[in-house]
Amino acid sequence: MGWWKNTFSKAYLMTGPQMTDSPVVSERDAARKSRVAGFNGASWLRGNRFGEQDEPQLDVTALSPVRRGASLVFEPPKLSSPKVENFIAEQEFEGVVLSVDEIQRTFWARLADCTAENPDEEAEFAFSEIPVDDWQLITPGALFYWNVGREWRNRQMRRVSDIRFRRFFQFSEATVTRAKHRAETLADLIAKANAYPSGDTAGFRRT
Amino acid sequence: MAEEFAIVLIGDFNPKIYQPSWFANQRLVRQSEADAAEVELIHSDFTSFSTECFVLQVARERFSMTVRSSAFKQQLHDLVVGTFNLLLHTPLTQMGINATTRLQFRNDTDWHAFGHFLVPKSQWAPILHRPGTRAVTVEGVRDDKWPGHVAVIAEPLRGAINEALIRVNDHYDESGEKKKGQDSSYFLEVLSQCYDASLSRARVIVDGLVEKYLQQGVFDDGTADD
Amino acid sequence: MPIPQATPPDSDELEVSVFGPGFGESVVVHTGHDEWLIVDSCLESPTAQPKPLEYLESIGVDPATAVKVVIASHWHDDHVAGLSALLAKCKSAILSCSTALAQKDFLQLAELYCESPSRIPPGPREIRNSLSIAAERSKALKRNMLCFALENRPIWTSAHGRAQALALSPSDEMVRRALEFMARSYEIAQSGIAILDRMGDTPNDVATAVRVNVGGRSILLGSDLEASASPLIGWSAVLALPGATLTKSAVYKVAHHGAKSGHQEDVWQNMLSPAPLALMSPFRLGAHNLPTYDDRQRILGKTATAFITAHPDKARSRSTKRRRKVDMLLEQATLDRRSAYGPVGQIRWRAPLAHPTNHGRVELFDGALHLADALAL
Repeated sequence: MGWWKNTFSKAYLMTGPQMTDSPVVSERDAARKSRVAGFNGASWLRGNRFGEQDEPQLDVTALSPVRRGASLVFEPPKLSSPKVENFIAEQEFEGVVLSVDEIQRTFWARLADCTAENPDEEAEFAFSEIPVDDWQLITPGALFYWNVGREWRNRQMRRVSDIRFRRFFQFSEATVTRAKHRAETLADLIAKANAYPSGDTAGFRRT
Repeated sequence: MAEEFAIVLIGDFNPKIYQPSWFANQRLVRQSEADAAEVELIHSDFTSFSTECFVLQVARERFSMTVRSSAFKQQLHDLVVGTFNLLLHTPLTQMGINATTRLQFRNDTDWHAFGHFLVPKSQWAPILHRPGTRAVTVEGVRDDKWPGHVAVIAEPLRGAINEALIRVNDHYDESGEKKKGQDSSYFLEVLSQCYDASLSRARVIVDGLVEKYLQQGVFDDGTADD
Repeated sequence: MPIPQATPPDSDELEVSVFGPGFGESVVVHTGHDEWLIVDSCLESPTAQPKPLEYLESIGVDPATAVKVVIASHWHDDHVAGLSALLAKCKSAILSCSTALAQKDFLQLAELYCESPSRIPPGPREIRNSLSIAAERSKALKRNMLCFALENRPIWTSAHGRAQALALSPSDEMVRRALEFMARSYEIAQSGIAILDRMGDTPNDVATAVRVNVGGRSILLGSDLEASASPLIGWSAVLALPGATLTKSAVYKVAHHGAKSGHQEDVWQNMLSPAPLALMSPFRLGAHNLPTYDDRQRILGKTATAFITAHPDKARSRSTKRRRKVDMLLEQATLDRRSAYGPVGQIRWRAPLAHPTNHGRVELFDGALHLADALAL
């Protein structure tokens, strides 16, 4: 076991802060009440970003092996931070392209709200909203995700709209098999239904 | 809301394959994204690079792809599935679908209380002077048909004030029925069937933990009267 | 004097009501003696009841006993929104749809759509779920609650034989093409290309046009059947059916939302009475509003009694209001954005069964209007 054990966690285990406290007995209840009074819902509780200071520093570790006893051990570099330090999505949509106007360079899409239970929407986008790399993917039926939220880069926050077309979408073999099997079951059920007298009020029957 | 999602695979990899240009050539990422990737190292023993939305680290026995927003969780799934559909013969033995949530407490008191919530201190007070919670790992058995376990790790955030992380590791072991020429197909199937459920499970676990903490109100800090 | 919307028809009164758009289109027919047919389904909002159900319940009709047949004219989202929920409530109804939809090629594709993590499109799922409901119902009742439509095939006949629903399409060739398309779509769905909805960009080879004959009258429900030059498909195939032009329908649910693609001159000349009552609902998707201005003029050139459930050019409901800064960014990133749902208009026509020459009475509710009024915004 231990896929999750990595230098990152180990660093915390080795050097992380301790949670300690010992209020004097006579003040114990007051302290507890203070702790109790401090809670008024989870809204303040959730953090909203990983700060740069919270991560192990981007050390450039030695790329050549180091000696440990009789062995030479290769030390991999530590985890790096992506350029976008964090992105908090405030609104997420799943979209499917409905129609494309190659001349106007726009497309219409149906949007399902992934953030809350709201009705589907339809929106028209200009190609210019989409990175050029993805233009070839803009075709009726294509799937994409549209996220709007706050992005932190170099400690600065800005609101962004990010549209990403799905580049890979495949049903696994087992899913296809399962779908086939269920289709066969339904087809059987339909075939059996045809053997019964018609549910039509006048008794016409069709197969 | 979880802030970091990762898919970690244990198996047998050739790190040198997993270059930004390879992902772009396979149309799994945008060419511009690959061109702008920050490459730390590409080596036959280890590859590490980051793009705008994901970080990839591949060692000979471990593949880890991480995104730092729920907005990219589908990309994460698609990238991993797309990659190993193309590299289907890669032998895989374990997989983790991981979600990390950061908790920010209003003050020191609440932060300490969380530690006491996780580990009540009465049992420790006679043994240690001023016991504190450093990190807690609790592992549970899976409640579905897949071999593996679910582990929850709660720990204070290093260098941060009054903050803690809760990581949920949804761990999948290889199937008991060994496939001939063990490849990626088993874990790809797990991923396709379990990804959304794993992330939902992580949310339920974190929400449940936080809710219990908020409801509790009184915490055992080890200073109770005998 | 206007009759309130929530007033049921008399037992010997014929009714045809067309609903739309909301999201979708639906037709409800009362053939007399508390026997009802429903064609397609539409919703005012994703959580609302299907509009036909809402209407029937509002006029005191029990859909569980009164609805005899539910017809899915094809699988497009804008015709089957809420269909399975509708069929589930209509416990006595048989389900009718193109015979192509009962074949393995479609069922496999529909099951894959059900497996898809994507929430859209819902069309194939609705058909698949409806088929499942009807098949299970057949098993429980030991009666065949499915009737697959094919050209010139009766779908339903009333208990007293006074009313009949006859499918005019699809033709054999349409079925063959539809199955070919589904098989191709199935292959594509497994190939890794992230294109899910391949259903929308093809001719309506599964469109089921229906003629309802009741009390000496005929009602033609055009579905989204399209005009064609080939005598093997579309309206040409219908016109070629024996007896197709013997009966003239006085009421016509205009095909394909009045679009030119659904217009075949011979249908107006040979299958409809002069100046029939023409009913339709609009199709609105961004810049593509049907019927277009030219379509409206064309239809009004055929008949003065033409009505539409909503103005095709009227902007749809605004999308959900969100936090101001989020909304600002959503507006900035789009050229236009609207809710996919909206109010559902109704055109209701009633006429006495006993007097086939009585033109009956048209009532308009919830934004429905005369087509001539839709020539101006």
